Amino acid sequence: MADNLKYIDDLVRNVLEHRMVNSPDQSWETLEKKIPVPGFWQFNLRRFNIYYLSSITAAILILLFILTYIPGNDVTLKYDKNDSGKIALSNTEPGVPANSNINAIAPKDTIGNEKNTVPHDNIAQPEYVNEQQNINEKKNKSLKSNIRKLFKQTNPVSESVQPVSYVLKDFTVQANEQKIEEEKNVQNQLEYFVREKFDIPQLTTLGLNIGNTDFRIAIPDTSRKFNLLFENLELSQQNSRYYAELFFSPLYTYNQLTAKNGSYEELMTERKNLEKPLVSYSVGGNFYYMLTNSVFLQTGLAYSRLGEKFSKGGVMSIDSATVSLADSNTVWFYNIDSFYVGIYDSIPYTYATGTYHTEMNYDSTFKNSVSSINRFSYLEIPIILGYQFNRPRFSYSVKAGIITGFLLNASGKSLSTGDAQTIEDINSNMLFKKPVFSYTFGTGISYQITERFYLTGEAYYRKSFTSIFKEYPLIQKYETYGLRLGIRYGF
Amino acid sequence: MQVDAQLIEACKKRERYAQKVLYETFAPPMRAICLRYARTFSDAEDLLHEGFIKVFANIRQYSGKGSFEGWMKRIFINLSITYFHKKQKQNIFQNIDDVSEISLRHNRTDDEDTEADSGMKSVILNSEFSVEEIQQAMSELPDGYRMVFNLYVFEEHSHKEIGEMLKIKENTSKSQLARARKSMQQKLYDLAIRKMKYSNHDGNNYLKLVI
Repeated sequence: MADNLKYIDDLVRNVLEHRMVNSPDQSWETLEKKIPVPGFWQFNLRRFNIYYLSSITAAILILLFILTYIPGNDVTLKYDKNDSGKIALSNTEPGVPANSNINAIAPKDTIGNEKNTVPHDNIAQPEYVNEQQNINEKKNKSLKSNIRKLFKQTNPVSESVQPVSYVLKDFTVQANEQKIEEEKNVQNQLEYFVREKFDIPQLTTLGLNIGNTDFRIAIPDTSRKFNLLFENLELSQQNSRYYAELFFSPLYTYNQLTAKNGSYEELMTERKNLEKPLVSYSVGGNFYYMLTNSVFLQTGLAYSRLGEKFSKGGVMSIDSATVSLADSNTVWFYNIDSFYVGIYDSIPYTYATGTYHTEMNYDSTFKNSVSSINRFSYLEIPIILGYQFNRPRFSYSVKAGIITGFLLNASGKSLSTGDAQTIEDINSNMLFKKPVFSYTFGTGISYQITERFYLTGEAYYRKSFTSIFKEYPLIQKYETYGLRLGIRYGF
Repeated sequence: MQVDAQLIEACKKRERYAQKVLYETFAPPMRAICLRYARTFSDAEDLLHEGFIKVFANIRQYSGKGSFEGWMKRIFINLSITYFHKKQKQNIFQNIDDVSEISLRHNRTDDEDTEADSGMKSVILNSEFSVEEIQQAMSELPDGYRMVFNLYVFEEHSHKEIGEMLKIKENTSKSQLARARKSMQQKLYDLAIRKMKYSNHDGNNYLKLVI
């Protein structure tokens, strides 16, 4: 029986073995939605992804924190001016933590004892400025009286130490050069005590009184002048931990194109010839968080509008064409390269059953050209780490980070991938990736105009990590040069 | 079917346009395979999509040795077998007593059965069947029959191999194949008879062979 039925095997095999069944409509689109999204959002040891990025970012932040964090303990040093603004804090009593920034200086009853004095080169140098001296004098007078009051209130003056006079001398804004030299050579120990924010709201703690422990601050090389107002200004800058900024940024973006394989070289070349970048713009707001006095984290939201000009011109000569008509009384049209060209109706035609058709023979030439401004709108979120160098009224910064851009809209015209000649509308839904990731770095400057307001300027560079397209035979990356102008507010 | 090595490399990099090209190239033959194994078109389409997702996920394992189409086909067949196991809610390999009713219905002896088969064979071989008709007849087979029939006839596996794949005995595979053939023969014969009836315009309604 089995052998009798073997013919069924042959019959079915012959019919079905090499069968092909075409896909129904939208079959690929249905499948595409089911394909897991690869790449950046998935953990993969062999591919750069968000987990790598997060680990690198976390490592950088931890490293910066370790390098810049100064344990405050009970002593707060807020001068942080490129190694030249620190005031050495001395303590002769036990109990002060070893990691406080201190230099050993002789106890108050042994002032002048050379054994216990500290060479000047071990002591940090304060910054000074030459500006706003008149304003400083008034503030200094107030400061001097407050210090005098404070000193008298909190510490009995020892006969062997006359700190007040030394204090008063060294808070002089425009110190006499000769006096400075004398003081420097004498190696006198200077003492003064300042209580944090005692009637001086902008002044940060320079030293602290712990119980009955005397803290001494050696004012180092006084050949430099220092400006209390400058200190106040700088401290007021450093007191702000949060900043908000509004900005406008003109930018210039051009497309970096690469063909995925040789068959698309023509498309790449044609697009490079036909597309010209335009100056575009970006507007938005940034938010800054000061991790330390110099290191900051920046994020924000921006609307960027990129533009390019697409123009294709050409001359086409047509010798003959066959057209099917809708109505013999209409002007007849036919399609050349997405352009409609009108043909007038003084052309002989013949009737066929059911439809009209005709043949046209002519040697007209048509000039076909299209010019379009292609526009791409993105919503961008930056995550940037920066380091700033603080100066009186100015600060300079360098920064680097990642920007995530979400495509909002794309419009315009481009070349067909089929023949690299036909012009097609840009279809934002099918073509572009959402989101697009870019890296950026830049340098900036800010100028303090009032206590809390700053003018900012920044030059930056930015480039996409990967192609902006999700399904396209060319790899296209944005490369942007920009200038950002803004106004910042410190909270 | 030849495949461009660059296309495979692009698929390994998970480039979407390359995946689309691969799908458009291989979907027609793979869909035909899925239709042989599935009962309905929608089941076949689900099987096809699952198969391609697996192909895209595992394409890096394809070393380049051997036919790419053969490698893909293997994935689809294994998926069909898995699909079959999932769909199985009860032992679908019917007791031989149940299946024999095809013969019993006609109250034929074995010798009479052989003669009947010869008659049906003659009718079937003299008829023309379209691809869709054969496909339809296969779709109407019980799942187990269809699985064994496909693996034996198209994939040319031995009964021992089929037994291992479907987790059945070798003898069960043999008997399932016999029943599948019998069932196909009956369906095709019935179809051929119907076609003969409808193609006779002079109103005479007769059969070429009397069973």
